[in-house]
Amino acid sequence: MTWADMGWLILAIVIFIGFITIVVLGLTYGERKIIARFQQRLGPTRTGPFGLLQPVADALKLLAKEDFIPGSVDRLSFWIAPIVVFVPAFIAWVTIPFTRDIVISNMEFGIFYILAVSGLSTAGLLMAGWGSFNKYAMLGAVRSAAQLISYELPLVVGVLGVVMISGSLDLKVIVAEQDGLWFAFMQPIALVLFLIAGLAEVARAPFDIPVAESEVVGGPFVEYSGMHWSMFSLAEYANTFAVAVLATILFLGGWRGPGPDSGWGQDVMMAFWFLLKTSLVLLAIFWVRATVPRLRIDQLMSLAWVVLLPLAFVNMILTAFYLYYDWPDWTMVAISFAVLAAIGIAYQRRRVSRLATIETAKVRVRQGKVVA
Amino acid sequence: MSAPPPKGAGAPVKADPKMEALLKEAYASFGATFGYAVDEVTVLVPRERIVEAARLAKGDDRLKCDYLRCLAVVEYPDKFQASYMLWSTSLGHKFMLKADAPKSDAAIPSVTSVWRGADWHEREGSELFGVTFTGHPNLKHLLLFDAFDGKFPMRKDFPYEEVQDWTPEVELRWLKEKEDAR
Amino acid sequence: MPVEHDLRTVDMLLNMGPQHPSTHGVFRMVLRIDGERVTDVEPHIGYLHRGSEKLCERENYRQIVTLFDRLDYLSNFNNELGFVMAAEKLMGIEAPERAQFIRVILCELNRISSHMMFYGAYGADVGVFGTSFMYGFRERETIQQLFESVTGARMMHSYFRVGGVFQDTPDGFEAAAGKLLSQLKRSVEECDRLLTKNEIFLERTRGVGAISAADAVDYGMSGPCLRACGVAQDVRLIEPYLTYNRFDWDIPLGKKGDCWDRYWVRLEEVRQSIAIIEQALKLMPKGPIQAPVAKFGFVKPPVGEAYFRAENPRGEFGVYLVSDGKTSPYRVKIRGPSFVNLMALRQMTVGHYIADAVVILGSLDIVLGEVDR
Repeated sequence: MTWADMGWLILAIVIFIGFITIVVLGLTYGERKIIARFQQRLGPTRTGPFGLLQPVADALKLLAKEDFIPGSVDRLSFWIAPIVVFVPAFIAWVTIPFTRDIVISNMEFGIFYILAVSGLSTAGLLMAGWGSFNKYAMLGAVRSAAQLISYELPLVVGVLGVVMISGSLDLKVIVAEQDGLWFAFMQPIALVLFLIAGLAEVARAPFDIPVAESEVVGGPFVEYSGMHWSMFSLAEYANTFAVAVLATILFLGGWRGPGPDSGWGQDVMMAFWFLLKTSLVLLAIFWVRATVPRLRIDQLMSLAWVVLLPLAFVNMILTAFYLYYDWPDWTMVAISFAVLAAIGIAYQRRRVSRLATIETAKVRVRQGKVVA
Repeated sequence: MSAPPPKGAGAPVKADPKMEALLKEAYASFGATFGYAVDEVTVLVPRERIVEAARLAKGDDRLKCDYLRCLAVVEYPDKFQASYMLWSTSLGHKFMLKADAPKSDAAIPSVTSVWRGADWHEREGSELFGVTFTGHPNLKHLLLFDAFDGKFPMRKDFPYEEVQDWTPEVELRWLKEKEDAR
Repeated sequence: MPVEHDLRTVDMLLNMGPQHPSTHGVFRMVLRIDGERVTDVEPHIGYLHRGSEKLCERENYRQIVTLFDRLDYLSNFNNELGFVMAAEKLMGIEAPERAQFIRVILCELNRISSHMMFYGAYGADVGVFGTSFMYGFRERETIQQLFESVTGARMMHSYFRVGGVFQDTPDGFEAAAGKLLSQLKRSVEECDRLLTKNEIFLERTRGVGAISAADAVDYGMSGPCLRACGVAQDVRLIEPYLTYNRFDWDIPLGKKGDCWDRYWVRLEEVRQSIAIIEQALKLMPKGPIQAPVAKFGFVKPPVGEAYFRAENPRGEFGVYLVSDGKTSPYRVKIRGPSFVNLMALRQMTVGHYIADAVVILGSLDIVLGEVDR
């Protein structure tokens, strides 16, 4: 590699990191506005037109804040933890393509690399919890480690279904393989698994109990402030964006969509479709955060091990049969949706029977006297 | 300031003859004094027999007072009086048990063994007035901080007008004194 | 590989300190936890002790009303009611009919606003980030605006007096209240749809913090916490005061006494309060609003003692008033419902998870103002 190539690569990386950071800041703004609308209020409106400068204000505030380190912390763990959480979130972006041509460095084992790297941040959370010398932080860190490890499995096995069908770990090939039918239709089980496990991997609602220790105190992040804390926050949003983008690439056909066949018009349309699909996934993620209570840690774990993991294996076996016996595509679609429908019906019946166990009574009082 | 005189002098009384007769019969052997608090019959029993009286109120089939509404300690010039406001959820009637303790020996047996709900009321009464409820499982300070030892704010002779200096140093000094005393 | 049965483990002490992120006031819980399970809870209160009972001995009866406002600062009218009716009981007087109806309407509106606050805070405890809070506070806002039109203050009203109320309601009060009620009816349905049958909410609250009816009665619990156990004790029913024996309403009862039941009972009570207010608005007569009580404004009850209890949003609010004939009481003992309900916290929480401790505390709906006084 010549010096020029190296220079171009470094420039591409810097631009890319800057782009991701801006997108992540924009995400914080978007989330606040959207959640505010769910809560019948407006969200940021004062900083700049429509509150658009709010992320800038937040960033400036965090940079200017006093970044104090409590005296009794384990300095090495405390200092390194944000870096260990922040760096994997960003280096995973190296291989994610936004259109057929926009990617820093496409790898043949793209999705494998992304999943492997994002698992590293678990260690960072544990370091944060231990180094903070705080019981709340330790509890939050231990819970979050348990949660992250548990949800890796359904996530990976779900993605495995997609990889089996497309025959490659390369993200561009996966998108190219969706030219007939999106994988959302071929692997709906995997899509459901990916979204749920992805939310749990990012520790977002309703799986945010590690960072909601005593509701709001913040779990492993409780002793951090200023620049340190902002690294955790940026990492969280970068990961959320990554989950949404991967969902688009793996299941929703990536940048495929009707549009011109060649020329720069095609590039624009590809980027447009990509961002549109990602935005819809992000909207769903914010919607869930605004409306749903959070699961307790034991309920969360049992969801992962008792429900999601068997489902992931069922999906993998189904996919294996489909590939080996060379069934037509529609069988895969039909069987997957049938499985999901069966689960949905079973769940609904269980819910109805549980609701029926709720017993309440009313004592009728008429003119001060009890009547039957 | 005089203690409230027996019923009739000033405060209206809504007599409840049925309840009065029932209580007079139930507490016949206690040597109790009966009175009225507007519409509730009050039964003043000697303090040594208060637990027995409480058990009678809860267990007796005619009374069945399973609900302790309130437990109040009042300081009169010559004594402390604990009032137990009772209610029966099944029979729907109420009355007040009372027990006196002289100022020199401010101790009343605790009724937490009869109603668990007497727990915090007695703790509060003991720390604010200085009345010891003997037999209470956990008579620590509830509302006041620990360094408030030995002073009883709700008593009439508490130096209300004095400006008290309650800084953290006061508490630390108290903690140190306790440590040295051990 | 043999399992080490004598693995030395130590219970961890976790302090949920006086500064709680999830509202409820300055309350400290020291949890002893073994892993994720709570093995012991020790509540520490007294951070908000202001000596209200001692202050009552030095202030006259009109000044004390302001003190009672600030006890349970979410249900001001109900506290004021407890005190003024205890004084009225001791004096043997009754407020005129219009004043009684005004009191009923304002107390029930206060009940609704207090339960909406509970709804908001409880959703926040369970994890719905802010949405339930906004729903609850939107209702509180409209109710407090109505209060402001009547008494001049949104929260600390000092509106009730011994013998009646301070001043009559403004013109258009009935119309404004009617409009408010129709809006409240819609909002309650919305609040219901958000949380009540939500699967995760059910998972978090069903079976959590259950207490049996016998235990609840033994502790002296009252209000929605007791009615969630299935015990139909409502002071408005068993010892009616004001004009409650002229209304038709239902008392919601739970069955298991767990957190969901307590939540549901409160939400249902909002609906019943709306029904009561509608009836009160229809029946309210015109007339005087203050009984002729004292010359020159000094209230002097005769020598004696009286215990009066009212149904606060949190339970049975009791005032034990001992008077010696002067312009200040001799002794006032305030029986705050949250003070008594909190005694049961230990029994409810032991054996559950840490996350459940917050949910259980939220379902008790305590207000430290009346716990500590």
